[in-house]
Amino acid sequence: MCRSGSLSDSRVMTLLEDSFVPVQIDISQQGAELAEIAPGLAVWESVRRSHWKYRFGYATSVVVDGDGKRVLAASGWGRWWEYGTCANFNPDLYLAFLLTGQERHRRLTSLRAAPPGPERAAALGDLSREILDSLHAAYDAKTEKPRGEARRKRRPIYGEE
Amino acid sequence: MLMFPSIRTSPATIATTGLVLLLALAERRCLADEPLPVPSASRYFQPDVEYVATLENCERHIMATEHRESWREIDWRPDLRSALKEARETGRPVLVFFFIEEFHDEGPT
Repeated sequence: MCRSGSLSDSRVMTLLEDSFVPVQIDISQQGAELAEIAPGLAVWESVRRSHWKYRFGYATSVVVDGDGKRVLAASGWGRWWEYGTCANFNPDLYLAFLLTGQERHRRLTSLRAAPPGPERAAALGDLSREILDSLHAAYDAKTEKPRGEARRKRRPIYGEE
Repeated sequence: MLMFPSIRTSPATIATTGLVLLLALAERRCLADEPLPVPSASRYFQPDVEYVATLENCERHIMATEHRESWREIDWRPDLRSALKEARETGRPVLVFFFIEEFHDEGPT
């Protein structure tokens, strides 16, 4: 779904080729070694183990720095009721997700190169909070499956706000 | 009762069965969403397309795009360890795409 959708878009493919190191992970096969190789990604393995439903479907994208410790952006799950708001379906949103991850990586790299001090610590804290908020927005905020009338109601359309 | 004398059917059982059937019917009615604008394959790539979140639209989207194989042309790195090494050397971030290829029975967790 995500691969034949957003990941097959030519703009996304060009950006990935130019500015990212893309890797696919079958989490049911390689999930156990994530904590050792990239500690920042271990939570995705623990999520997979948290519920039986993730044995049948699991598709999400994560941007992570070269150390594998700091997650920079994530695309969300792409459940059907997130159709229109999730990057997995919409190439424009996926492009925005990638550019956000790239921009945060640039900020993180420059902050790591900066001399230590209170300003640097504050900027790193701001970046961490921003990343955490975006992860919550990507995964937590849209986990409620609509029921009844709410299910039939039109969902917000991207760019309409 | 006369037809099935060996089965004891209490009023509570009948009421519960009826309730379950009613709930199943109600759920089925909820699933039947109203017809909404269909995002066909040609509309999908237009920037002003409307994405309306219904189960039908999502299924149509998947059916319209599932044949696309362009993602295979991306130079996916063989494993995460080498991808992270390359990212450190080139100063680029890593995009990790998590997926499950097929159902693997892992036994009880």
